[in-house]
Amino acid sequence: MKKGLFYLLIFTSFFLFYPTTYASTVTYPRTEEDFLVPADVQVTESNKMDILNTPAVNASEKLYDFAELFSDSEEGDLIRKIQEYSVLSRYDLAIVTTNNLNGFVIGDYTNNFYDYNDFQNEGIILVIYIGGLDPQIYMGTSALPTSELQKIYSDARIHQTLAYIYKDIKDAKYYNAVDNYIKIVKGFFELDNDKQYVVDGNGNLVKQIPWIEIVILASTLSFIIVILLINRLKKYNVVQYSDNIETKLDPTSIRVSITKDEQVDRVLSKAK
Amino acid sequence: MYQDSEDNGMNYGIAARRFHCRDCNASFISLGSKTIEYCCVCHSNNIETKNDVYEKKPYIVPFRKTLEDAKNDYQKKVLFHPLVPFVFKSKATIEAIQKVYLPVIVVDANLQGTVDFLAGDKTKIMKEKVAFIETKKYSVLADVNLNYHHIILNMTSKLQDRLFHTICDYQFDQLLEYNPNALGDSAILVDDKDLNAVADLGRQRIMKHAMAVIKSNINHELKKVNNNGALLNFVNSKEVLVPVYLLTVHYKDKDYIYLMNGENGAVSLELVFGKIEIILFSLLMFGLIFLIAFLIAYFL
Ligand SMILES: [Zn+2]
Repeated sequence: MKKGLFYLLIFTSFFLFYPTTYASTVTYPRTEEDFLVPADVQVTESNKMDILNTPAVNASEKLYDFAELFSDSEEGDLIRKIQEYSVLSRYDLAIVTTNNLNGFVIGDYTNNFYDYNDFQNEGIILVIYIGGLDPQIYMGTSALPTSELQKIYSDARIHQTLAYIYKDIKDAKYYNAVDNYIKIVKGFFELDNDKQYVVDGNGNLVKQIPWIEIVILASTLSFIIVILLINRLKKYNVVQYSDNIETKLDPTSIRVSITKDEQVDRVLSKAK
Repeated sequence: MYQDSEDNGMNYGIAARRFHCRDCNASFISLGSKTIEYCCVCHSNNIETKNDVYEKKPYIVPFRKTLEDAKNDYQKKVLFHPLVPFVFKSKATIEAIQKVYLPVIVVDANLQGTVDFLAGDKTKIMKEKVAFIETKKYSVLADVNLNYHHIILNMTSKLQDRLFHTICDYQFDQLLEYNPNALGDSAILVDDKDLNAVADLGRQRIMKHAMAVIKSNINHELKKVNNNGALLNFVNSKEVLVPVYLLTVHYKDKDYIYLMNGENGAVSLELVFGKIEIILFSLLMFGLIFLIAFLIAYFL
């Protein structure tokens, strides 16, 4: 009986405390009547088939784990990190895992996925395809060629990023790969905006410590503190000679009577 | 203890011990049995002791603050200031605070007589479009009377007036009649100033103040004393012992004095900063701020 209760407790607490699940593989059917594309996409004969073959998703979910590579808690963690990145950079970030490229090559699949769903104009997307012999990954950027985002995520950096995370993907460490991916894209953003990060030879992000500023700050502040303390000490050394003689005069005793006040002389002198 | 308590003015005196500091030349007297090992002025132990007789019968302003009060106050002012040299904060220094009676003379003074002033007023006048300054000169006589109560004259050269006057606001209305038991073991600094010289300085102080008061009663712009016929007399002169806590800290060939009024707790303190302490504290601050800034830069 006791043991039963114990199991029951664990069971219910499991439900109470287990992180919320993220169902992120929901897709919506596209039809000729409703292509489910963003308002700025013109449906033409040439792109109609591409649109219909591209999964329609809720653009606010950000992580689309069609290949089911992540546990629910991993999904929750990654989504939180994606949101942090978006808040920081104000760029969209979508991550897709899939076993099926719907007949596209991975580059087209990636671009279509981003363009035909309602993501922000400026954003980046990572697609991990693990259906083939070797896994494939692709990173797309959506923005005008001259935009800041294109400068941050240059071809060279994209290449560097994908090369770095590919090792983990090959080892089926998908969570690590995506976690690092978010760190790196965030790092590139901060590198260009805050100069807080540098990427070392191995593609690792290293926080850049502003040593010179810290040294200047520390010396200036300690100097100011010492000067203030010295000034406080100096006050002690100015001993106020307080000859309190005025308190010794009996005010009731004061008698000053003018017995004579006569003019004795008058002098005129030129004013200067 | 009493050799002769008959107050017939002839052979009154109490057995006492007189201590003489060979370093600072201070002399002090103790009526108690406790041997005084350190000079209460300079804390030297180079002391010469001899038996003596204490013949004075000064009034006493009793201690109201305890030695603990003085130590606590001193520690509060010194301990938490990081730049004050360590010697100020050492236990030995704090323990060296001395309970001392200082010899003073308390007098009332009366100023009475006629002061002859030369006074004047200046006005600007125009005469045929030329500006002139007209100065009218007056002869003014003032009959004055002013009474001062409880003027304190410091009788020891071992404590400078400029320090003593910052804390000397004693209540002389309820003076304790002389009673050797009330003095306990406290050291009494021996007066070593010439009474006439001290009295002259006191007269100058009073006269300066009195003239300012009198001048404020003369309704002319310019005034100066032409002939001072007023006489300043000291009345009710009393020898009084006033309580202080005294500490002299030697630091780099200079003496720094902590002085507390043993009656009301008023304090005068001279402090200085130490070079080593500044360097150490700066390094500590630098390290601390450096560390905090580093941690902020690293983790944020
Ligand atoms: Zn001495």
